[in-house]
Amino acid sequence: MRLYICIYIISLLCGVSAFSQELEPEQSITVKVSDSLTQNAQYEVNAVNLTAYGLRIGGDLSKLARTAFDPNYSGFELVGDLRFSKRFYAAVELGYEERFWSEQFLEAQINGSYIKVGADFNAYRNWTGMNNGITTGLRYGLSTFSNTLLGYPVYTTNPTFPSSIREDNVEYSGLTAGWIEFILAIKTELWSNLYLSLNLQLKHLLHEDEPANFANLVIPGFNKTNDFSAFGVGYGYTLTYFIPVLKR
Amino acid sequence: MRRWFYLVVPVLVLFMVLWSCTKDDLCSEETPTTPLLTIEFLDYTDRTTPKPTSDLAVRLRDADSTFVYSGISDVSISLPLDIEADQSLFYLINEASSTENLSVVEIDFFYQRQDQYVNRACAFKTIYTNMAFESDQTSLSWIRDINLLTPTVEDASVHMYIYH
Repeated sequence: MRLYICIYIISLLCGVSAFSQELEPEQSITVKVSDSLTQNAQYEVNAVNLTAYGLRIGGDLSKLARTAFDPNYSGFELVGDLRFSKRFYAAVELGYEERFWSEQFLEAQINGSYIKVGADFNAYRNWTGMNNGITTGLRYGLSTFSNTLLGYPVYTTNPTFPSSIREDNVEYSGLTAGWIEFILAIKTELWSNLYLSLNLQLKHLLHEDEPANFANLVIPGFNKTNDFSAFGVGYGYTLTYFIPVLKR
Repeated sequence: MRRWFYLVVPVLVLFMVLWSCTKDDLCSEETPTTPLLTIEFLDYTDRTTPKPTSDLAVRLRDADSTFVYSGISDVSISLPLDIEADQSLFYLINEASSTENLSVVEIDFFYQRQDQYVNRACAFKTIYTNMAFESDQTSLSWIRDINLLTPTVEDASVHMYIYH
């Protein structure tokens, strides 16, 4: 938990500092236009005004970091989006996760892959020549996974007969779950066409296959489930590269 | 830019609230987990009137005669059943601290066990099915009659009447 908070704060700081750096090139353009109204300068502004459309692909750094430092987690996520209008992007995320999950009275291993498909809307109005974003988006997420109950003691309130740990390794495979996800992201262009993005995800479980005598404590892509509500949360910290296809 | 904070801040707050939700991390006492076998003590002659035991002790019939309860003067008790074996063997001793009137009855329960998932915090409970009992109770014992009410023990209802 402390690790996640640290990652979260560091990534927020990175996002903020990247934003403040981005202001500089814009100012130099303004100076150029007001100082000399030559045709050259006018042309330069027009060229920058063109919107680049294309594909942005990359991966999630936070999941790689967790794989390196968290012994109970291994996974990765590939992300991509396609700009199809000035402010809208089609977006997709593909991931795979293996999680060892322990509660006070049970242990389980959940492995599976997921896909999230949806769209992003860039709410941030860039100054000329900049390509940052504060995006909100919606996704439909679908996961197929296996859920293995590794062991548990029986919960009993009376101490007369203590329970041993039962290690039956009951595997429930071929489970699926689907959810709707609201995603909020800050995207900054670090260098030309290279983007760093922090995102927060609020999820609402729509359907899931419940194991016969167990539950999905965690779902790949959805993260921790909750006994008393269908909501879930997630975050991502992605590095992506933009491949321009056309400018207009 | 400022109006985006109106969106960003509530989302962050909601995110943190949902993240830190720990309602289902503790097994609540109200959650039904592994049930106990509830016995109600009734009067042998007037068969519907509750009759409290006097200084009842319950011991396991194991090598150590492990105490389960002692000094019970009540109209009902709840006995734990073994979650590792298909039988639980007990001594029910009335007036246990008395040297003259001490009277012991053996009562043995036989059953099948089944583990059932409860929730994230409590994990699993055991329920007992095909309940049966045996007893060395005679007309001279302090217990005069035993009536098993249900073949399954899975909740907190009364499962057995003992008349004395």
